[in-house]
Amino acid sequence: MRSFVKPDTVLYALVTILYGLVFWLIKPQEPAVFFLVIVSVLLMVLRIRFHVFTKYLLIELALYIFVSIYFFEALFLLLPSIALWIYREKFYLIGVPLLFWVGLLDFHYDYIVLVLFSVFCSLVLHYWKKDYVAVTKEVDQLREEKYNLEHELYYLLQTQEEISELSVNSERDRIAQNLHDDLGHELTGALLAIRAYETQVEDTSTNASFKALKNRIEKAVESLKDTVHHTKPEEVYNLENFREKVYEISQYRINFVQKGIVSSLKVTHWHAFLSVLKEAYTNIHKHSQATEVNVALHVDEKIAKLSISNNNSLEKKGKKGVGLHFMRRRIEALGGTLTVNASYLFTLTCVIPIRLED
Amino acid sequence: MSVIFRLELKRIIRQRLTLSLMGVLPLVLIFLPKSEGLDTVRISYGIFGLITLFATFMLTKLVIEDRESHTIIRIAASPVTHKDYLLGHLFAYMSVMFVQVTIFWVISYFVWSGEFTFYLWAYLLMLCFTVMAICFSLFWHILFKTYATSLAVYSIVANLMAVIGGMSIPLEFLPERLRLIAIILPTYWYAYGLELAALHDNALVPLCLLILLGFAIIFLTIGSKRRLE
Repeated sequence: MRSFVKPDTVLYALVTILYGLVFWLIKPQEPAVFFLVIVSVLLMVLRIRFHVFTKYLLIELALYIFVSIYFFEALFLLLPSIALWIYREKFYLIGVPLLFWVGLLDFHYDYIVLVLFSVFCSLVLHYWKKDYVAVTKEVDQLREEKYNLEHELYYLLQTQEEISELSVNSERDRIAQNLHDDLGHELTGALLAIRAYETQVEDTSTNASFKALKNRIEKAVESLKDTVHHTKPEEVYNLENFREKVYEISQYRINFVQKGIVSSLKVTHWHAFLSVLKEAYTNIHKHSQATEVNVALHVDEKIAKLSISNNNSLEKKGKKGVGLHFMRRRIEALGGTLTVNASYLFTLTCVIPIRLED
Repeated sequence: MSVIFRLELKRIIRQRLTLSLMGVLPLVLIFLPKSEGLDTVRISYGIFGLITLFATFMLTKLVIEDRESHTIIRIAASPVTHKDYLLGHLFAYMSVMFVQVTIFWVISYFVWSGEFTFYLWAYLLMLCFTVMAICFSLFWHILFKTYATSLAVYSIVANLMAVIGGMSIPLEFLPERLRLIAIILPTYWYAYGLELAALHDNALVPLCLLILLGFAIIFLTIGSKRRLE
């Protein structure tokens, strides 16, 4: 019921009531008069059905005024249209004094009452409509915000999962490196020493303990190799991997420039840069007709800067996408910034400090 | 549009019962015994108007059937525009109805005999009334979800329209107050046009034709709104 009672619906009811009153007042039994009423209703129906509220306004006005010279009641038919016009635009109130004047001139008091009634009702409806539109807009905005927040929550959960996976991978990498560098080197050294001893001492084949020791160390080295191999994460985050991803898209001419000591970058940096790269490529692919993409990675003592630009600015300056918004939030969480410059060339710049925030 | 038109014609031809009634009832009307003069002819044409109201309703049920069987949704998803769909249907109904009206008019002219001017105006009135009746049926079907409900309410409304509008009983028998209300009905202007033609007051008959066409456009404008369920 509540959704049915809208300003538009009440306006249609008002127009119908006005036509009823006009009909009752002018009693159009003559075919010519009824034809005029039919024309008026037809124009009104067309206007409402095809939402052409104020079009052909002057033509209609001229028609009724012309007919009213011979038949004053024709002006009554103008009243539903007046209600509709004022409802749409308050500006049309400007014509009301003229209508009053015409009524007073011919002493048509029923006409004046009807003009007052239609103007009053349409003004009330006009303000109601204004409020209604404002409230609807606000509700729409809130709905959109809720939708964005739901997306953001989903995205954050996804990011959290990625970060957790990244931490696990990073830890596995560190353990694998420790096993390989420390324990592995020690065991390999021990094995080499045993083999050297074997060449120096002539008959060791009869010494069962020595043989068992050698076998055990050989097995330990093999086992360690396997363990290191399986512990190392499948996805490696380093310059090589990044370079591979930069050149992955073949439809653009890619210019990749790298400056500074990239070894100071951690897995988190690489992961963030890869995400930015992916987002930038998606945007370029979706919104531009670029043929060339420039990717520059600059690393100095305190910051790492990744800049991605293409040779054709974005076609549509439509609504801001949520992808970049989430990306910015993510970079800001690392203490960095993400800026987009679409004034001439589309450029995406991501700056992350080398020393990451906890 | 021509594809829809042809398809609708085929569907109409399949409605054998409707087509038989459309053919038989006017013939019964023609061969009923009548007194001399144009008054009885005028009443017969008025009753033919009532038959037209029901005939167009039966024909246009295809629109509501399309909605009930969800065919309209499939059509909406196809490259056929709503305008083509609507015009295809309208032209199909009009062509069938025009054939019926013309046959009835020709036979009635030869059987009843009388002044050609009256018959000419009556023919034009019948054509305009047929167009109006088709548009009215289309508008009516928009208001209802199922054909059964639509038919139940329409049978009452159409009969009332015919009685109050002066199609079933002569206009001169209607009380003045009722006549004032009746002018908002298209049936009144059909009956009134026939009355004027019978009284040789031909100057006002074109206005009645225009009023009927005005009603038709109003109903078509509202009835053309696409309703998918």
